[in-house]
Formats: sequence, C-alpha cells, structure tokens
Amino acid sequence: MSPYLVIPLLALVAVIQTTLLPIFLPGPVRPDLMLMLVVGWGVVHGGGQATLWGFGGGILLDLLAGTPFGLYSIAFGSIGFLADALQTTFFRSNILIPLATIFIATLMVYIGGAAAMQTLGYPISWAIYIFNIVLPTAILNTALMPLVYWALRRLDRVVRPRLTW
Amino acid sequence: MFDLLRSRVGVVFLLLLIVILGIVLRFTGNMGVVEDATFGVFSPVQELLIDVTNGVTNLFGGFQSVNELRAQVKQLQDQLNQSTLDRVRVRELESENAELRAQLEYKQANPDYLLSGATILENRARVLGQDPSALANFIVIDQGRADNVAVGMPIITPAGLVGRVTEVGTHWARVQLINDSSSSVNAVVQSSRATGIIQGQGRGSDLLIMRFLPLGEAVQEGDVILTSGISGTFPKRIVIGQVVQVNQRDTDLFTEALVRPSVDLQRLEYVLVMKRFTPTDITAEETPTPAPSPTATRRAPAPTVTPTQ
Repeated sequence: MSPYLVIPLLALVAVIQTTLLPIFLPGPVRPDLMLMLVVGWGVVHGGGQATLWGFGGGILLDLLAGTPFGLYSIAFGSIGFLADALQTTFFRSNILIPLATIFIATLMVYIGGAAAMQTLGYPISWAIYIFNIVLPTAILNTALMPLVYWALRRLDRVVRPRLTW
Repeated sequence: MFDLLRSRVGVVFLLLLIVILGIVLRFTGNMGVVEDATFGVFSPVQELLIDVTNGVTNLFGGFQSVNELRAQVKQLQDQLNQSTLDRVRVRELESENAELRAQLEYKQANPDYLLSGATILENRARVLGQDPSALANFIVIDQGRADNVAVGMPIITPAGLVGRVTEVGTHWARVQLINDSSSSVNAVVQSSRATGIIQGQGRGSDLLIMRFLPLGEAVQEGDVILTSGISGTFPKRIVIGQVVQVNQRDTDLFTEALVRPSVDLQRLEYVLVMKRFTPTDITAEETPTPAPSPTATRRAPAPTVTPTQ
C-alpha cells in the first residue's frame, strides 16, 4: 500500500483517537482504533506491513497523545510484527483469529504500557487499571474488531494489486 | 541507501531509529522542537475536527435540549396540576375547617344539646331530578345506630334546621329534609310569635311553605321563622328560614308564606345530629329571641327528651 495513502490514514486515525474519541467518549474506556488498525491489517494483509503501520501509527500517537515518546511506537510496532506473523501462520478468513489477536494485543499493549509507565515513575493501581480499563477496553476492541476487519478486507482487495511496500 | 529505504526492513529500521531518537530527545528535554512541528501540522486538523464535532454535538445537543425542554414542560405541567389540586384541597380544608369550627361554636353555645357531627354520605336533594325514584328529599349521614342515632332526632347546622332522622342503619341514617313534601315542622314567626307549620314543597322548589298562619297575624317578607318547640319534635328557636312572600286571600281561613330555608340544602356537607335536647314551647314567650344562645336554653328547665326509634 502506498505510503501516500498509509501516512494520511494513520494520521487520520491518530487524530481521531486523540482528539475526537475523548470528546464523544469522555470515560476512561475507549476503543483503540490504531491498535485495531494495526492488528487488523496484520491479520488481513500481513507481509510485514503491520509492523510499519504499528511503528508509524505509534510515533504519531506518541507525538499527539503526549505520552512518553516510544511507548506507543514500540508497543504497536511489536504488535504489528506479531500480527504479521499470524497472517503467515493462520488462515486469514477465520474471524476468530483477529478477535483473539486484538483481545490479547490489547492486554499486552496496555499492561506493557502501564509497566513501562510505572518504570518511568508513574504510579499505577494495577487492580483498578486492569479491571476498570484494560479488560473493558479489550472487550470493546474485540467487539468492534469484526467491523474493522471487514473494512480492512475490503481495503485489502482494493490496494493489493498496487502494493508497493 | 535509497535501496535500503525501499525495503521493509530498511523502513522498519528507519522507524526504529526515529523512535530511539524521539526517546533520546524526550529524556534530554529536546523534544519540544519535534512536538512543535508535529502540532504545527496537526493542530489545524485537530481544531477543524473539534469544530465540526462541536457543531455536530451542539446540533444533537439542540435536539436533546428540545427533548429536555419538553420533559421540563411536562414536569412543570404536572407540578401545576398538582398545585391546582393542592389549592383546591386547601380551600376544601379551609371550608371544612370553617364549617366544623362553626359547628363547634354552636355546640359550645348550646350546652343543653347533645350534638354529634356527621358527614353527608348521600344528598338526594343534590341529585334531584336525576333519580326517577327519588321521590323524597333526604340525605344519608355517616352515623347510625352504632353512634346512638335514633329515628326522630333533629338534624341541624349552625345556620339552621336541616331535617329529621327517619331511618337508621348501623352506621348510617337517612334524614328527611325540611323541604321534603311530607315534612312538617311546627314553627313560629320570630317577630309576631304567630305559629304555623312549615312544610316542604317537594321537588322543583327550594322554598318552604308556612301554612296555618292565623289571618291577620303579622307576617311580612323578611320575617325570620324559628322552630316553635311545640310537640317536642324539634328544639325551640332553631332557625328555619326567612319569609320571602306572603299569600293572604280574604277567602282563605289561614295565611300562607313562602320561606327560604336558612340552610342551603343543596350544598350540605356536614351536619349536627341533635341526640338530646330540652323541648320548650316558645310560643308562650313574649320576648322573641333572635338567635339561639346559651342563656336562652339555660333559662328553660325542662325534662330532657331523647327521640326514640
């Protein structure tokens, strides 16, 4: 997929996630669009692109969200790498694969991110964080994943002949 | 170098370098330049999105406000309705309070009477003309045999005579009103002491008729008619009404007068059952008493009469 399409897409998702979602969903639990995009594209398309999307999207989130730089980019890049690996291992049309992947990916990103934040000196109340934020977010992402997965499969059909990287 | 960038590994490597550089800049406190550049690019987009979002939110908020306003209007309407009901209830209570207070004062002013308050359960006088079988003008009160109410007991209000108990149940009693066509009450003209009999005219007329007034006796419009106490059926000096018309023809043996009851029999709500009173014939008295008073009743020692069933 052309970087001229990927970069605006990632930027749009990053802006939506950091600007619009907090307006519409002021609570602590929100769908993680960028994570769904990275995981979904990794499962749908694979070929190493999810790794790139993860790094790129993570960098944008790091810049726009104001979190310690590298937190999202490393986490999402790693998740994208795993998603790419899944695409080569499992048959991509199995809907359970993206569902399970996004659920596990959410747990990994959020718990890993919290651990990193705690390392950097941020106090984390783990029980509250896991039960009030991580698990509800994982469930929400899983619930919305079929929609993202369906959209990305359609996008994949459109862009696959013109893939450049 | 460019070939490396064209490969995915190269791009990943480049991105990793960017991340590492960013981390270094963050920890060295030099990230501000990058953030400024980033927000310089993205802030117009973010502001635009926020403006659009706020517009959409306000639009939906407007719809929501309309719904809230409707809910508020409904709530206020309910409150207004409740307030109206409360106001009506307060007026009713004030009216009831005034009436009961008047009854209490009447009881205190007439210690010889054993009076018991009663509430009207049914006022057939009020529904006259609606019930074809309602040949009689009567009311039903909420006191009966269990409350020692007996047939013949007078029923009054502080304003005057209402009627007489004609039928008693355990917890109810039927009262024949004085405007019933079969009702007869011995009466006296307050000013002239002329006696006669007050009878009802039945349905269709609110006025009573005073019959058997001797010819030539002075009865004029505006005269007050009281119970005379003759026969002991009713206590003396209970106000019955006021003369509104005098019919006197030379060919008649007696004079008749139309009397408007002092009690609005159509709007009775609370009455007093006179369970015991002292019967006195006031026709022999020379000095008329304008209204019932404690001294007047105390002046007339007589055996106490309790109407029996």
